[in-house]
Amino acid sequence: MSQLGSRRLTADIFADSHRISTQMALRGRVLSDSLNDANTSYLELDIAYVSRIDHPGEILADYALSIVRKDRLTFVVVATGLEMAIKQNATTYAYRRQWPVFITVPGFEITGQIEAPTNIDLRALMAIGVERFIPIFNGKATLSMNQTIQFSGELILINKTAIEVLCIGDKSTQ
Amino acid sequence: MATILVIDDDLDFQQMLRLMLQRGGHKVITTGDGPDGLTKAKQLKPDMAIVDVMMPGMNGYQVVRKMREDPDTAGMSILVLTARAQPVDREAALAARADDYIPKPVAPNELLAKVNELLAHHQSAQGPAKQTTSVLSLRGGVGVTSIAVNLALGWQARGRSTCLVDLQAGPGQAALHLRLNARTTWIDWAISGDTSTNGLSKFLLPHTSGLSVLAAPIVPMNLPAPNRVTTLLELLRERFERVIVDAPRIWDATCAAAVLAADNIWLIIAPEVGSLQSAVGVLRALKAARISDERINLIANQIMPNPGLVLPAIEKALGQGFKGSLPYDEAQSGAIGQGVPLMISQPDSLFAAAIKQLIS
Repeated sequence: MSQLGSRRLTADIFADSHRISTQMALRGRVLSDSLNDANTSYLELDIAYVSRIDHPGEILADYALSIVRKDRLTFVVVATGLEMAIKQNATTYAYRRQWPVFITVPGFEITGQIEAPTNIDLRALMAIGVERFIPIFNGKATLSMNQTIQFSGELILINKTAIEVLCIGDKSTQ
Repeated sequence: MATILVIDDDLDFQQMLRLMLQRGGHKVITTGDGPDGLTKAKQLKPDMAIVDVMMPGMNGYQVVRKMREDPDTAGMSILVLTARAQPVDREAALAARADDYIPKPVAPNELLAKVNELLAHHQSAQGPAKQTTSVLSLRGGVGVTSIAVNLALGWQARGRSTCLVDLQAGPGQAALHLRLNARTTWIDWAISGDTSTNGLSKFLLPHTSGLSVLAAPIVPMNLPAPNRVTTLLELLRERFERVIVDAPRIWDATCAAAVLAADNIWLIIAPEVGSLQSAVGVLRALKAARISDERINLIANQIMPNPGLVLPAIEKALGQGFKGSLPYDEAQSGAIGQGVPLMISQPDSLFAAAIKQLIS
């Protein structure tokens, strides 16, 4: 059954200390293309609802026009609307698989699934390619200092330059 | 069929919602912004509001808070429907005192089921159309006035037009709890000889919450004939949906009239021997007055941090269980001193929450 929802993509954009909720009319593009577009360092938002990270449910203010510096973003959470956020591969390559990941960025721990070759090379994952934001599917971001604050979504796009630690594989306990 | 107000700045979504709710048999009013939504809610008094969060100017949480603050809309069922879909957003919606929260996108049948569930719950929670409750104890100092005041404010906050009557001969305390000047009192009304609901209006003191108060005199006065008390409570019941009586602390004709007129009697018992002994006496008096057990509700009020008696022992002694227990709250004395009851100053305090629980 079809769902009642907006034709705009809702995304939560995280900088070091703020959460910006926005609704985007992407005009044919997907969000990851806009974030990874090397021709511009900025992302313009039609409307922005600003919250502080320590009280992320509380809306401080809203602004009709705003602009963000993409290189200073930490990550972007898309709760639903994957088709508006990233281009899906039309074909599935046998040599690619979903890897569980654990990533730390300033203030947050992020878990989820990353799509990568079976013979994954972490250095290549981080260093090669022009895409600044790497996609984590079925992701969950947890505030390190207060683990009750969590943000999850079908997709989390993480700024590679904000990544401190990236671990791949199933976790094991001693 | 219910009347539902949809407040959402996404016009496409608003129209989808309208169609879906109309197919579900409801009448729908729509608006694209918060301030207009508040005006429509106040004027048209819908049964429910469905409120988006991300709206420019006034966000959905602000709309919900303002609805809950306004006595005309405080009792409305409110559902927050938003694309801010994180657990913290659900918490924020409930903290703003929405009844429930659904993230977008949502399946039409799921939304309709939630709307109908909330409407049904709201209807049952509202209780009967008219109700008089007498709050009673013949033992002083057990918190009867505090409970009566907060109970009255609780009903008013739920959108029920409510009057609090302090039936003491004097000195009355209810006006003090609400920082009201008792310039007119229920005894003034009794002496006036008036028997009309309109004539009663000039004796009512308005409180900022929307509550009406009929105060007791500050200086003790002679009590009027008991039939005047009966007439007074009948007139108030005609005019208000909820009448809360702060009953006299002595068993006299006024007190008897107050309990006879009541649908519910809240007998307040503090967990100490004196209060227990008093409760035994009151229950005998109520039995002699042929008040049925169903109308009598025992309410424990923990007026001290360390109670002298445990509640099961009191229940055993009285042969009747408590309907509810109000916790000790050290903020209570400050609330009385400042004339701002906990139901207003700290609506989420344990005491206020327990009163709300008893109401629902």
